[in-house]
Amino acid sequence: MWLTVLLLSVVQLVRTPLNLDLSGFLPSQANPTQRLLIDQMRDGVGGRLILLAIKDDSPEQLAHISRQLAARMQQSGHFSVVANGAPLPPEQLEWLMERRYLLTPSINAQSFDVATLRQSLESSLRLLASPLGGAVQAWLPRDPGGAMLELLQSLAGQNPPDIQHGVWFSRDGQRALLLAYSRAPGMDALAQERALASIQSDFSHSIGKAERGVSLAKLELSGATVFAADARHQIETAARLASGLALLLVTLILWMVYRAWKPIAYSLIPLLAGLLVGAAIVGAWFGSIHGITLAFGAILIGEAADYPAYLFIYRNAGEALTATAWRIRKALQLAMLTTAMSALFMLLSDLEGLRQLGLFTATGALTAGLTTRWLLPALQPGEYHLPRLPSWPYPPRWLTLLMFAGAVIVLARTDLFWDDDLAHLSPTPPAALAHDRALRSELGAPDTSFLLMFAAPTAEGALVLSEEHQPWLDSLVRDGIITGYALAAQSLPSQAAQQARRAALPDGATLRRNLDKALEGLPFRPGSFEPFLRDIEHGRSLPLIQRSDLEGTPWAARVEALLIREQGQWIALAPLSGVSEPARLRAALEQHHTPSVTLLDIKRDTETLLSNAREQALLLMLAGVAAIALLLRVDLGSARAAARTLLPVLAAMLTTAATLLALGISLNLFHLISLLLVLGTGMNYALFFQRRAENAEDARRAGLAVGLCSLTSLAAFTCLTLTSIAVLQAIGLTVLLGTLFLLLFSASWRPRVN
Amino acid sequence: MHSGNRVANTVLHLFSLALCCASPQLLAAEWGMPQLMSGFAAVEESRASFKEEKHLSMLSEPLKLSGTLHYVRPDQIEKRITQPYPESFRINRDRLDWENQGRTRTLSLRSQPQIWALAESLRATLAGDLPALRKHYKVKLQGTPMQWNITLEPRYDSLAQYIEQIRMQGRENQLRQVEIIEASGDHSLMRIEEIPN
Repeated sequence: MWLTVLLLSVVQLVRTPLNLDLSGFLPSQANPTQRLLIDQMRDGVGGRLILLAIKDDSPEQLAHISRQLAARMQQSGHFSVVANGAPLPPEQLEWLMERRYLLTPSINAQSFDVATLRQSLESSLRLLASPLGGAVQAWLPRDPGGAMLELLQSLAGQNPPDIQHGVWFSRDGQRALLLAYSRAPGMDALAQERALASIQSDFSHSIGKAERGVSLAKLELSGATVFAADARHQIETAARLASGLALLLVTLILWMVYRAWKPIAYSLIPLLAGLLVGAAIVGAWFGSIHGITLAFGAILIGEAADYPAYLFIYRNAGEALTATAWRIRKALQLAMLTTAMSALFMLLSDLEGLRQLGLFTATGALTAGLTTRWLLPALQPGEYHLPRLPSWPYPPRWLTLLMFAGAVIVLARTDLFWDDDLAHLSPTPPAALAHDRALRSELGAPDTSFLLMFAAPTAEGALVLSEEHQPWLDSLVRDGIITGYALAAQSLPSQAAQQARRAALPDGATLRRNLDKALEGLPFRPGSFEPFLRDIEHGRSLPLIQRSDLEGTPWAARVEALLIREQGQWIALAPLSGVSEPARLRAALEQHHTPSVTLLDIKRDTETLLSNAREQALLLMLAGVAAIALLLRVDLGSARAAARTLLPVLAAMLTTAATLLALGISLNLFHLISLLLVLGTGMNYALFFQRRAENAEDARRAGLAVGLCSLTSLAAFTCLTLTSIAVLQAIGLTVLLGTLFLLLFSASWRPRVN
Repeated sequence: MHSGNRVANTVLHLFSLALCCASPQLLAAEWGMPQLMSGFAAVEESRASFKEEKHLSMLSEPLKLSGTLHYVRPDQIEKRITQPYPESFRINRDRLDWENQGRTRTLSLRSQPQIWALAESLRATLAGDLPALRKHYKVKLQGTPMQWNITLEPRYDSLAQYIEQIRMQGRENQLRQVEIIEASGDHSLMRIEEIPN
């Protein structure tokens, strides 16, 4: 029967996809703004943007490598946009030139009257006389109004990077710069990793094809995906190292107690069974399992590794294990039920990740418990001799009361209780973040922490709305509140705007009359602007630009990223760059009085989301504790016994939280999850300590069992605190402190044996 | 005049390097590009007025501009047009600030290599920076210290597509005239008069 379950679990697991995307830890029920925020984090512009810098060679070589790399990356198919500042190919330039009067915002009915024409002709004259004159001469006859120049400037953004040898360079001229948007959404970790790996291989091919032999140039990558991949690798490495060390230490400790290999090996069976069944059930229920669920779940049911310790240690010399299991069945039952109970409440969470974690922990702990109760006794662990240790001391109760009082004071007085800033958990070094900011500002790329949203029922409506606010956005740039913005309408103006611009183009006779008048007294050679007259005539009959016309152009990706459909609504997004004072931006938005425009402040809004999730998790945890209290009351028969079991554990949890705060560590969701583990193991210690000891031998066994369990968890979680990863440290330190306080509190409040 | 020409050629053409090495003491006594350039290098700051005529194919008559030049060693130049309209170009190392009609635009000269090369013809001459001049141009010197002519011809294709020749005239360490002949046939002539400090 047990084997059948295990076999079925394996079959189920093989079919369950492992989900490495983080979105499961974002709420699924949210208001539209939050929904958009989550979608932006999952697959928005920010998550897809990769910044590249090539350095350590001559500018000529760097430019050559930049072109090679861009071409390869374009061919790889991983990226929707690869840009390195290289001039547009002639056919795309001509495409723009032809449609410049549809695309340029400043075109209106006055653009072609005598006064405006006169003004632009005078400006053209100055331009001709300027150092740019040589370059201007080629297209001046077609475009004396400078519409093309205006259009190119608007497409290039407000702060385009420097160009050297035809490609983007940093201001100091030391690094060639590129940027790319991945096709895969930012949260699709596997696809992102493939994209990053393809960049690396494209780069090594590109430097191999350098102009003079192999180049020693280096590639620097930056951006959210790059950090995520680095973080994943760091966490994986650290976790592997820590768990390897932990396994070694735990085995050593177990060896010192049992001095036989069979009990050690058998101790692993319930844990492995719990992992397997838990993962399989989560997979069957949710359709996939998150990597994080698996990782945290494995930590949470680590408590299940304690169950066999109780079984093996309570066994009397020569006793059949079945008899031992029967004797301790009640404590074992309560141990697994309390764990399952506290975990099951997480099923009510908004976060799919937490729901998965709850189900995983509950089913995993139950499986481990049942395996210990029914399967392990059937196996023959052979003979082993437990060491004779002095019985566990009774720490003075006043000491625990004093510590608890101190904890309450700390908890009541602290104002830095929660920390919802994701950045504090990020293993990305500050230097890398600073480098990223520098690259972004050089490339004029948005930092994507601030987005404006223009929502309307149709795509056209959203475009129109964003166009209406463009003058206001320009005023924000002038006032220095932002340094720039991007809009889909810059490459795909609304049909209404295009129509109005096309309608502003005058007929041939009128234009010729106006132009002749404007040219009076200016030294231009007669007939110089015939190409201009032809272009306008051609423009009058051009069809309006549709979204589909952009396919295959560098502007398609911008429109795709910035004009999106969300719950039946269309939203035009405007990523803002250079927001140095968010308060000023918010004040400007308030003054602007526009209900249809919403500001998305990704950092602040994420923090709100996280703190909501954390508050909910806390409530669910409290509900779990209440349920455990009820369970204990029913099972142990008296409120007193229930209180005596539960209170030391709760006191230890509170003291742990207070100690973390006193150490200057604000709490986050990970601390909370770790405290759940403390609750689980704590219940075990308390239950076994609270078992009415029949004699001194029994009491000594309780001491040994709890001692062994706490020693193994201390060893394992100390390994986690030694890593440099903030998340792992948070978990390690919480469980480490929790275990120490649990030992102290439950040992001192256990009943005395005579 | 003849000897100056020879020194310039000596530097430009490697095969005659042997000649130059054979008689170093002769070279030291003569006047040439190095001597002219070191005269310029001694100038910390200078101001001048200019009158410029631009002959452009799009225009039926030349465009006449006048204004002032201001140079501060080694890499700042300001060209301020006062007539027929106010406009100014300020070069500071590799940046060009361009101010007209109440608006300033900043261009990176690195992004505009041809314009940079053009600006270098003036900047490197005023700074007495011969290597910088030779980076972009083949340099020919004729005349005497009291009346010299420098002819610059592009060294590489991308510049030659834009500029055919630049001719400069001067007296000692004062630049008197700059003539730019573009590949398109357009040309401009700028007369410069130093304003004494």
